[in-house]
Amino acid sequence: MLKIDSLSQQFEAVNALIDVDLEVSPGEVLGLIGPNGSGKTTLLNVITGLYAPTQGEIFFQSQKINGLKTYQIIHLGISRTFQNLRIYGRMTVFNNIWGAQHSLSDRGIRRQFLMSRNQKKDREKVNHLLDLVGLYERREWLAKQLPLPDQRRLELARALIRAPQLLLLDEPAGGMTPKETEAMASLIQKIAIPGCTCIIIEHKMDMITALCNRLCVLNFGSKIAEGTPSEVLKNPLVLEAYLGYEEGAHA
Amino acid sequence: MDDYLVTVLSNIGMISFIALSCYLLFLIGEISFGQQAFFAISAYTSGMATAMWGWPLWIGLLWGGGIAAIAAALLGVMTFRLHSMYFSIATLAFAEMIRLWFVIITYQIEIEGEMVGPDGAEGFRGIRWVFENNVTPLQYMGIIWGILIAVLIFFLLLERSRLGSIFRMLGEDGLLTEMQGLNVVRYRILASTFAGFIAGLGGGLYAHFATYVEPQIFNVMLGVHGMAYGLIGGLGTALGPLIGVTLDIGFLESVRAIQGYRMIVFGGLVAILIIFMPRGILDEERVNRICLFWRRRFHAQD
Amino acid sequence: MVDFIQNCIDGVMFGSSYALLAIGFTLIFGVMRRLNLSYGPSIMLGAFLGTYFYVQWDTGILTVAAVTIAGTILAGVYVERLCFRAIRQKATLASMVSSFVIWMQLEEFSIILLPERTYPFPALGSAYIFEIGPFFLRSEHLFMFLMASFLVIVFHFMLYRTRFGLMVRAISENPEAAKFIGIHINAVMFWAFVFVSAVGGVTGYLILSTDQQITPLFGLWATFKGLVAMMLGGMGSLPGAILGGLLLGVVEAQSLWYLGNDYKDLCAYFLLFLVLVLRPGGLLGKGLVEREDLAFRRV
Repeated sequence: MLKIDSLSQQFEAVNALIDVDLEVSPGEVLGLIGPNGSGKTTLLNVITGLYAPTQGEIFFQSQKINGLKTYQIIHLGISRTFQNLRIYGRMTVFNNIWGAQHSLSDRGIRRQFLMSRNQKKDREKVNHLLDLVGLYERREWLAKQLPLPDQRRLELARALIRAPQLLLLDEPAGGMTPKETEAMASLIQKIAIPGCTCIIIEHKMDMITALCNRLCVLNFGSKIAEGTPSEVLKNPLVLEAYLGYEEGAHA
Repeated sequence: MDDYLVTVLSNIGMISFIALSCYLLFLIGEISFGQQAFFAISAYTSGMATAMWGWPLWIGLLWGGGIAAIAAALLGVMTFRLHSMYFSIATLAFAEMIRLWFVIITYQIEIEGEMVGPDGAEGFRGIRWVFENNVTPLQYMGIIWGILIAVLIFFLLLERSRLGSIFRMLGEDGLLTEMQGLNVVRYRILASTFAGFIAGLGGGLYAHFATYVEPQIFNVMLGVHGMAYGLIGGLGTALGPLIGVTLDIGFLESVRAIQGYRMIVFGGLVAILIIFMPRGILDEERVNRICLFWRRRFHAQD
Repeated sequence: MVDFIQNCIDGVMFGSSYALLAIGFTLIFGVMRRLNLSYGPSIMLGAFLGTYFYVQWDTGILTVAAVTIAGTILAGVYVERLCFRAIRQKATLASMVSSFVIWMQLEEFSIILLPERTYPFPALGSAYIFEIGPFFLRSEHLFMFLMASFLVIVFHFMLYRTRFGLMVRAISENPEAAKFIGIHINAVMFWAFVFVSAVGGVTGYLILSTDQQITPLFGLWATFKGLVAMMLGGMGSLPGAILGGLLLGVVEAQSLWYLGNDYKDLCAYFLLFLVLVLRPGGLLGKGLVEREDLAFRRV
């Protein structure tokens, strides 16, 4: 589904990504891990077209996507969430999700302006998704009024409304307590993984090992390991990157 | 209705156009110091249409608004990469360019022995369609408010529509909006065009109301006022800018006691509001609360 | 050709005052990341106070200068409290808008103080015209240029050779980090404002004593000139401000000569618009826009 060839991304003096090769097969759940600053988020940024890579190519379903504009890439069937949580705080929970699917029926300005005839169907889709993430009762709240875990769930729902083929999650459990993390993990397991190929960036190893069937490890912009979770987490290079020494306790 | 009230209401109506124009750009997250440019462009072009080419008022207004909209679209295309301060200063520069251009331009034709048309710094006199067609001040006020209400209905529909939702999404987080698959540039230019048209309508109405315009009128002050009204009244609804206009022209202007100090009071009011209510009196939160309140009321009655 | 060079000379002379105004803007923008659109009006208020003293009590030029500077500082502090201190660090646009709105206040206050349209402003001495080959040089322009150059050196010294300047630069690089190494941001910003206002007062005095009159339009005029110059050279760049100011002066002088008074300002704004659309970072300051752009892009 996704193929990345020798991708490099340079920002002035910083080499954020150095010659990264990656392949993701349909239906896979790939965990992207590595210490802070290793280039994980940058990789997602490049995939979604925020930057044109300094070098290398990205193919999504055999189509070259590096160099395309962000909205064009999204149209091809990719969705993402953000590490620092990006939602429309001033809009209602409902509108946050409803807004995300506007471009699905992008049939010109007139349609966008007049109330679409599919209004009811769209609303039902949104409400259904809200129900799945447990936000239906609070759908008229302003998004900024929700507590953090619920905002993260909102972001997940927003990413899913477009029924993407590739879902990129950037620290979906960031800032959550262990119990909240567990709930998030099972939510992702229940509603996200069945329909999409996923790349998940996370630091919480419990979550990663529970959800992912393959891991890829970045450090200082380069890929240092790849494989099943049990393989990778025993890899001395990986342990050194995270912990600074060879012998590692539970990461 | 006494003359003074008619004048005040007419002024409120006409200035509201520029306030709503700025409001539309606020929706997409930009502060424009330059909407007075489109007010000016339309004032001149619609004046030319009626006073020099003999067109009826309606066509003149649409013509002026249309030209203003095209100019606004051009500006939108040129500034699509600019954000926040850069965008604001660019709109400021653009508006001043337009104003200074009108100081230079002279285009007059002879009608019945008189020279009619824009005359540089002297302005454009003789936009007399209203008098030649015996429209009373009261009737003209009706025309102003009629068109204004049409614009308000446009905003009402916009708020409920997908396009309105897209604009608000743009305003809050442009990058996130692009991440939802929306072509941000296209919608920015669209918003600019609409805003230009709305300001243009106001400009055309003003030109025929005053029968005379000069470049001086369309200075930065006008634009900053238009922008400030939205910040006072609130950015959660199109009624917000209207409240701002009414507050200034209706209230501040009329109260004799602050006659010579209006700017000081107005400026101070805006500055303080920005600190405590950065998105105005009727901001999104308050509007949301009011809507929920009304909805519960209706449900309770069922 | 002679005219062209003469215009360049005039442009550079006058442009030096624009450069000073631009430096004032740049410093505030550099330190606070916000645009102070009340800079011109606060100078105007100071100058109006100065003229008030002159007109009412016929004081000497030094007193007028002192009052002008003091008045500008007062106005500057007022703006700093209301528009910059009171608003959260992140809300840069709110400060900009607030300062623009306060301009209305300051302007009206100046008009209340002195209701006539124009007031005389004391000159610095009798005029004298130097002749250097085919070129003319007015003494008051030369004086302005020399004073401006001196003030630029003072600025440079302040920024790069004093402890205070070091703190200012630290804050402009990274406000968060500056807080953590013990810099009192509020205090530094306050004094930066005072310093900038003081220099603004001197600049205003120089410009007005050359013009020998002051009108209520001065505030807006000064803001525009400083703003255009700053953006031409690149926001946040001190050498950019100087370059922008001189360039603006030359462009104005040339367009005044070849196209006439009506086109002078038009050309200046056109140049600004062009620079913003094609190269928003200004002619020198590429770094800043990219950083801001990246901030916008940062996910």
